[in-house]
Amino acid sequence: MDVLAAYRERRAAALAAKRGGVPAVGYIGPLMPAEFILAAGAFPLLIDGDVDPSTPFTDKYLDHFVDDQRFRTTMDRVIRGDFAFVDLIVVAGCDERIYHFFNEVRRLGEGEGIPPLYLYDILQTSQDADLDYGLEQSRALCRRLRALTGQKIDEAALAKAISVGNARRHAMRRVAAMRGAEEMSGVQALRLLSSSHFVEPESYIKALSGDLAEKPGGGRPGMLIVPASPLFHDRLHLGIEAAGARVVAEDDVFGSRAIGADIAVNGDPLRAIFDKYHAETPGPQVHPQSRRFAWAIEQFSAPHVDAVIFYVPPSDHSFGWSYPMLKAKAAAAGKRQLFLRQDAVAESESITRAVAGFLAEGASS
Amino acid sequence: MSESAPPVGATQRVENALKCTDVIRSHQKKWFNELRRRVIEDGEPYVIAEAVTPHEILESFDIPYVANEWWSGLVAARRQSGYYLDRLEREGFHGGLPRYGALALATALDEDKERAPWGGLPKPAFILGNINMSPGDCARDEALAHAFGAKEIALPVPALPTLSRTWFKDAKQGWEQIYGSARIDRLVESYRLLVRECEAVTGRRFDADKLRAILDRANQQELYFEDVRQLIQKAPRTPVSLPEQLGNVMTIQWHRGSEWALNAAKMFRDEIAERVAAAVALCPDERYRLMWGGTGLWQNTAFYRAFERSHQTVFVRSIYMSIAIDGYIRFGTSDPLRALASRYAGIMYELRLPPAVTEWTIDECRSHRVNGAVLGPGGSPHQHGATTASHFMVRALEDAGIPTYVMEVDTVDGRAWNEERIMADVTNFIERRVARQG
Repeated sequence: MDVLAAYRERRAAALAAKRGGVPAVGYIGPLMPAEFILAAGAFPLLIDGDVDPSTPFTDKYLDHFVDDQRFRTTMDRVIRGDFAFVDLIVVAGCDERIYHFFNEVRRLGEGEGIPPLYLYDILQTSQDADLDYGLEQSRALCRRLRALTGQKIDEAALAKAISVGNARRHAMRRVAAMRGAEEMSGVQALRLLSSSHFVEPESYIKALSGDLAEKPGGGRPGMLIVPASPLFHDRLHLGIEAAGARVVAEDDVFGSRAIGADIAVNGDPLRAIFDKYHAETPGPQVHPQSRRFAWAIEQFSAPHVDAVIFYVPPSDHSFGWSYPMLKAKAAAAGKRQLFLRQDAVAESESITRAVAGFLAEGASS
Repeated sequence: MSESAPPVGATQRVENALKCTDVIRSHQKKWFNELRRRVIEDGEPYVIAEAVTPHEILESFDIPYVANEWWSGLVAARRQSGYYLDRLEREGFHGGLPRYGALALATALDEDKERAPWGGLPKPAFILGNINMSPGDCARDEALAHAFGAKEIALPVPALPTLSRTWFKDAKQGWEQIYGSARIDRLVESYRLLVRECEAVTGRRFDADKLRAILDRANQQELYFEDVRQLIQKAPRTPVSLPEQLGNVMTIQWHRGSEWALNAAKMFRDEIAERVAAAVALCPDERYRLMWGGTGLWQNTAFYRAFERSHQTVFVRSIYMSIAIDGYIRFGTSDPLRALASRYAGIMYELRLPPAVTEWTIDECRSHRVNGAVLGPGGSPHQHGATTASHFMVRALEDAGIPTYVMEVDTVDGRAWNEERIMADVTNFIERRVARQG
């Protein structure tokens, strides 16, 4: 399995599995425990944005105020039928708008290519009541998946899925370590880490155990990216690294935040899976913000982070409320910051110019 | 007001016709002055709460509150939004963030406290908000809490798998079925946390009977609004302007559940009934009725009256009174926390997402006999993904035979107002679409 090819053609592995008789389950939103899908014997496939900004199918329903390319293209490709081959799409509760839009498109008689939908809701507050609600949501999802695949999701199946998922995390840590040791570029690391969402775990683990080393060149300043929303593309990394910097980590489920801690192997496996995703996933509704950004704030002080890049494209209408707080934290950690408002997909060269200017300014001071 | 930074935006002023309006407005001003005195001089706690949060719980503890969005509306109505939004940007909050609901943060950050309405908001005991499909709102509330050095309490709203197309008819009685027991239970759990916070702030114990009485009064108040709505719907010519309707409804809703609000709603209802009985018309030669969709055009409510003389066209409906009637009433208050939770389990979906919002809006258009709809973009359109003016909505209305115009203007940002263009566009809409369809 060519993991980097899977990053470019994200449906390929799922389509191949499907042709081989394995059910495919798509998921939208970061809060989806792939372990449940694996335990059901299905192929988990993340459905997310597209760098091609054209959205003729979405344009019929959403006005221009909905200007998030990730949202528009995800909706568009599903309506267009790109994912008609999957047996079910599970939508995380924090992304429920798109779930309701799909339902409405279908109700209007125009969503033939939209697969069956399921809404899975985890609340990420610090309130104790999250647990009972989330566990019941998880049990209900497992029942739905079992109905789909016919495979019983018992403790043994969940434990096996946890084991596979942890092995995948172990492989991903190798990527992170190589990046940290300057044996791999940030672009390459992002592509490899992102591909975990598009490739079957055993193949992914095997691919990542091979020779991954690059020679990106040492001595470049290390950048931590704090993006306003998930990086479904590599354009930002390309733009930054073309300027002579090195992306050492990103606060993002497509990159560094895809790894996290292993899922506990003792106790109730369903509870362990829920706990992992509830506690660690940097979803948009994590409350309070100090919890959501705790990882990034910790990274501000890391020795390999020379500066922090806040990537806040024009489509941001949420993260900006947290930016002044994060900026102050980065400054308190003694780190320089760059605030990028350009859209990396549309303006990659502009990103490069801005980062180059930032680096030059840093060098002169 | 302090010197410099003159008001930005439209310049027209609204004329009021109802006797009750002065009473209601003066009560609100007096209430706020009293609030400041109680908070600043007596050290009593108060809360800044998002509009769509269970204010009744605060009311049951006699904790006064200021609704965040309504504060924004007040600042915008004083044509100060431009100044304060510039202030936010200087603090690092970029210009692409939703402005609706942001002005409390701006007034809190601004050093010139006397510039803000009524001398500005004093420090609250806590900020009360939601965690829902607009995650930015919660982050903004945290920033607001930080600006005041106050605590923030956020109530998570669980995702809703199925949207009812007839909620506006069914939810008053059938809320358990429509919104789901598990979701309501989860909301109630977070309400219990709010109750504990209120107990800590006031030193008083939660009184379920008192909360039930408040909910029952709120229900009765909304039923008075229902009378008003029916009077407007059925009257040959509308008896009240939309700005006046909006102002009175908003103030009464602010105090819903109180004896004052109940009496004020009755007074409002009675005066509208008298006007209808006496055939008093806002626009004696009224020919066309329009609906306003989305959050109120707080930066220029005079706009709603701009076409009465020129085109015999009146605005008769907005979301505010109708959501108070259709979204707030909850019968079956034996467990008042559950009844209250059921309201907030659905209301934001019903204001934003199809088919809940589209079916309701069509029904409202028909019952109000409107000839056309003018849609604002809504409060935080970028975030919600389904604005009042989404193509889902425009298409639903047009398919229902209702000419629809989308007015692209921020409802609170006075800097975005372009009088000439907006008036020309709406005139064009009335003459070419509304009048021709008749």
